[in-house]
Amino acid sequence: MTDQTSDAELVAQVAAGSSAALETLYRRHAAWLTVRLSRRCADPALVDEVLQDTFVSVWRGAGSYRGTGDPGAWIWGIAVRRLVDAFRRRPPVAAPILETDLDLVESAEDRVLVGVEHGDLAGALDRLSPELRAVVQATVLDGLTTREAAQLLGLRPGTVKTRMMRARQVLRKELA
Amino acid sequence: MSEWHVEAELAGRYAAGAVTPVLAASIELHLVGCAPCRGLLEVEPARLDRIWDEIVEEVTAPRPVLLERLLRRIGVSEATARVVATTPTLRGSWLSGLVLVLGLALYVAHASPRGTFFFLALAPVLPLLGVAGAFGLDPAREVAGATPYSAMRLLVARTSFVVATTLLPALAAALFLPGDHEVSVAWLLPSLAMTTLSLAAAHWVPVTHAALGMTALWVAICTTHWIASGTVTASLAEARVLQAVSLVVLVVAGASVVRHRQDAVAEPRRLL
Amino acid sequence: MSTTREARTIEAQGLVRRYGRLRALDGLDLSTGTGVTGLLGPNGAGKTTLLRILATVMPYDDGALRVLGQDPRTPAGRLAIRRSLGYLPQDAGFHRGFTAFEAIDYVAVLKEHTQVRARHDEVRRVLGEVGLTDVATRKVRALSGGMRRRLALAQALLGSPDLLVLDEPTVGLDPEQRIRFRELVSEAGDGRTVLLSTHQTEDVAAVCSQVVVVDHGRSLFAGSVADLVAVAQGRVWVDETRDPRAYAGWRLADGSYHHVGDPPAGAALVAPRIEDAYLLLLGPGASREAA
Repeated sequence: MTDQTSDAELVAQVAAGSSAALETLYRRHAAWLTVRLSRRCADPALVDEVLQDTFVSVWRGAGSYRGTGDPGAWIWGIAVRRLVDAFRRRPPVAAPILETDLDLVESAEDRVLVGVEHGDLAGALDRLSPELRAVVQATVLDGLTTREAAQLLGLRPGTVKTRMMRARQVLRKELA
Repeated sequence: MSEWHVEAELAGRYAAGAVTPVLAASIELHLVGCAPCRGLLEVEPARLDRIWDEIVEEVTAPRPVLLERLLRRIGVSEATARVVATTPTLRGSWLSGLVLVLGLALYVAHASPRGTFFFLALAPVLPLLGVAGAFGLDPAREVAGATPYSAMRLLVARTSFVVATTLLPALAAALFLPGDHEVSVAWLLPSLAMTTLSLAAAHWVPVTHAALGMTALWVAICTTHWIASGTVTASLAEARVLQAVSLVVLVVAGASVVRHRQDAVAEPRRLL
Repeated sequence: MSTTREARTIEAQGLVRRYGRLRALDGLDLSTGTGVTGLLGPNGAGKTTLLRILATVMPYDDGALRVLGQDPRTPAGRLAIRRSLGYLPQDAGFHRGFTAFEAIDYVAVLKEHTQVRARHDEVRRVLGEVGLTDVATRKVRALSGGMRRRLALAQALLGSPDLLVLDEPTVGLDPEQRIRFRELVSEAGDGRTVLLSTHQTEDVAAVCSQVVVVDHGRSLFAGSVADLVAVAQGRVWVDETRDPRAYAGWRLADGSYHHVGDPPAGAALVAPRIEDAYLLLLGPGASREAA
């Protein structure tokens, strides 16, 4: 395999049992995944563990990659769920530092939210209280379900739902 | 993708957590699809290497087979569990064959008046056959023979589990024999004695030969007894002599095995 | 292990091994040091018997033997030899239900690698050495014949042993793997003792510093590859027609005949190669498989 081998091809090779392909994939993606995970989890040891779980999952689940979308997005999707799992196993002592959380599935809603040129939206998001912003980021932008978001944030699912509703109201009002 | 890219300075601020949430969000969305920008983010190589080592370990190292996990559960060491798990006669095919044979013997015992005798003659040699197969059928025995691992230790470890997995189903089957229970378990002591004797004999002859020889001896004893006495069902239990002799053999052979457990290294072709 | 010279050698005098009336080894002498020694001989010459004795899996009936300075007839000697030995038997089998990794891991357990993690690292190392990293998690029964042969070689490399005893290591390897194998063996022969049997003279030419020709349980020749070739100096010639008096002869691509034996006067002598010397040593009517 060469440097030119695409990520999608590498995932296919991993599915066929190539650990060399897995290593190439790891070398390409480990650093940015680590940085991105670190922004959601303050404990480096836990980040390492999640990164490890992520690539073990990639190894075992490479066959389920359907080839749609960027493999980087697919791997991040695994990573963020492994992070949720890690929090479930070992709830963080302090609530995770969540300055930001954004993601991958380029839905219409995302495009609106990331349209930073629309100063209004950017400003509105920045002005949300950290609690409300964390919920928006986990559910809308990291694409997590209410339950997963609750686990990631160490909240009850009901709380996530209420905060999400509250955040929508605030944003609507600000952008109106 | 887009014309917009993350610059090195921005990447550094992002990694340090020093950008506004909305900017961080757009960086992250961009990173997912832009390999050059991903390359701007760096993590200490030693840390990534360490994590990779863990990944390799988990990905390639065996998730132990069911048998191995069970052995670990009951406190067997990792190395011994692996060595026992390679026993050919602890595989599914041996166990299913065993159940089949026991079922057949039970059927015969109920179908024919002399059937119990057939069961009593058969049951005690099953562990012997299991031990013989545990080594005779081992495809890696030539390689194993040239390693420093104690052959007697390998022998005892494998034999214990072969005997356990053979005797328990045989005992269970014996409970369904017609007649009284004293007769049903009369074969147990001779069986243990013969198995232990095979182990002890392994100090001098290949264990496969010892176990098969013992099997032949037992079949000969049973046949002779049957022809001579003509009685069937209770013959073994009544042969108090046989029980007594078995007990003595068990004790003596057991002592010999214990004495030779220090036989770290087998004479070529003796044990395996 | 001590690092004295004796601790790196194999010394055998008058080795005898009988199977009933047959003498598989009939007074064989052998003396090797570090480096790669090739054991060349036809099938049934006694190569496998000799290697099994050296690997301590078979006893011998007569003669004297020291392997790495140890006596294989004593338990302590056998233990010491086995601790420094990597052995590739002719029929190395593995448990087919195991993965390639597990199969090697089992041998590593038997070789007293007790630290789990270090053991796994060593298993991965030897699998990498023989190019099987990518099939580590595949079941042995799903591997091709060539892969199983390399797997067998991998277990012999565990722990980088002082002594490697390899019985027909190149059988079943394709040309590319054969080259990789030669590299491996050359590296292993650096400061350590490697003894390999083969009936491929190219293997000997490629990797062996010393060669021993064995037939009928005896050693016919022992020396360097150059010395072996020199045996055939002046005894190889080409002719337009087949010479029936030659020990061995075969037709070349250009239609002439290559002969080994006692050349007639005025014959067109050519430079000998290893196979010529080998056939010459085996004598008239020798097996021609080496050609």
